[in-house]
Amino acid sequence: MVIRALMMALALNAHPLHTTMTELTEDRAHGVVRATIRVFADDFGKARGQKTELAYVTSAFGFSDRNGRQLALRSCGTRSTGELLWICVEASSAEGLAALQVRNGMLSDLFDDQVNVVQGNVGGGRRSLLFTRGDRAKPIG
Amino acid sequence: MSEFLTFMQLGFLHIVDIEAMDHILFLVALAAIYRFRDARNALWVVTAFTIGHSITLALAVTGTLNLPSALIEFLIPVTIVITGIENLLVSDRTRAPWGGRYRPVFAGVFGLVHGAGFANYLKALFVENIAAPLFGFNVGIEAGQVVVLLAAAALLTALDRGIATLRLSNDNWPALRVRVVTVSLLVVAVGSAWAVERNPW
Repeated sequence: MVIRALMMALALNAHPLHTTMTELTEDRAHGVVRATIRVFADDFGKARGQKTELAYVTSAFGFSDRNGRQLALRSCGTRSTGELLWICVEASSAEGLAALQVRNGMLSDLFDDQVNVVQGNVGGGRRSLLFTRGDRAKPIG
Repeated sequence: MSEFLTFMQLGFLHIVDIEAMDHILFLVALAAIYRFRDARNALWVVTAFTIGHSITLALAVTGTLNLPSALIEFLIPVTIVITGIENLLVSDRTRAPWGGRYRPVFAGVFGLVHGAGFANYLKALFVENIAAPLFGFNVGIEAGQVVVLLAAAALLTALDRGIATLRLSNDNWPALRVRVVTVSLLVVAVGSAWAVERNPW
């Protein structure tokens, strides 16, 4: 048992932080809600495998309205800085962020300890949501 | 949820994660010499570790300090090994330098190294509004460390019972000393293997 514990400890020597950060914004004039997801490029590459970037993001992240209807996501560009990818996706919503729910399971299929933080300014206040593996959609407003 | 609470939760989850084994092992090495009645001393040491941790984390995240991650990854297990060796060498705490009160300083200095360990990840993620997330993250780490310390105390108590049941202690080797040596040898073995594996040279 001691040897097994030692082997496990040796295997777990790295201390990675499995986290993504998402900033939500809205453009009420054009009826658009937007999410910019900051994710480590190497982890994202492993998670998406053969899927396109948008296909993977859509499978893991999304907005839904009060009735639980998923909003169609489209890409609004991706850029990279150092080890990070900044993936922008947007959806049409006349009511804005306050009326929506968000889910974020980015990389949760890859890491048991994945934690995804979603933040945004909604209704004059700063809102923060935290998602761990298996979490369902949460209201933003 | 507020930004502070979100990042507090993130810090907490980060430290109680099994993958945070290097931090956990360091805490176990620090805690190995304490009994329940020494809880206050143990808490001081862990708080000093958190203060050290917070200082480098804040400096690195704000870009004031830029440390090579390969060197830091190597130094983390070195701190574990040194703590284990100190446990092995100091058999009588009452006769240790400064009555053993140097331990919080020692933990604080090693905390500086551990804080730098994942600062690069956080630096990439915290781009704006750093203060509230960073403060919340550190409070979460401190809370997580208290939980790890309680779990370590339970394990050490179970080990003490095992030592008593197997009658491994005697007048020359009191039960606490047997526990400290057992735990510290394991900690030194694992920490040394990590240090060799992470050797940047």
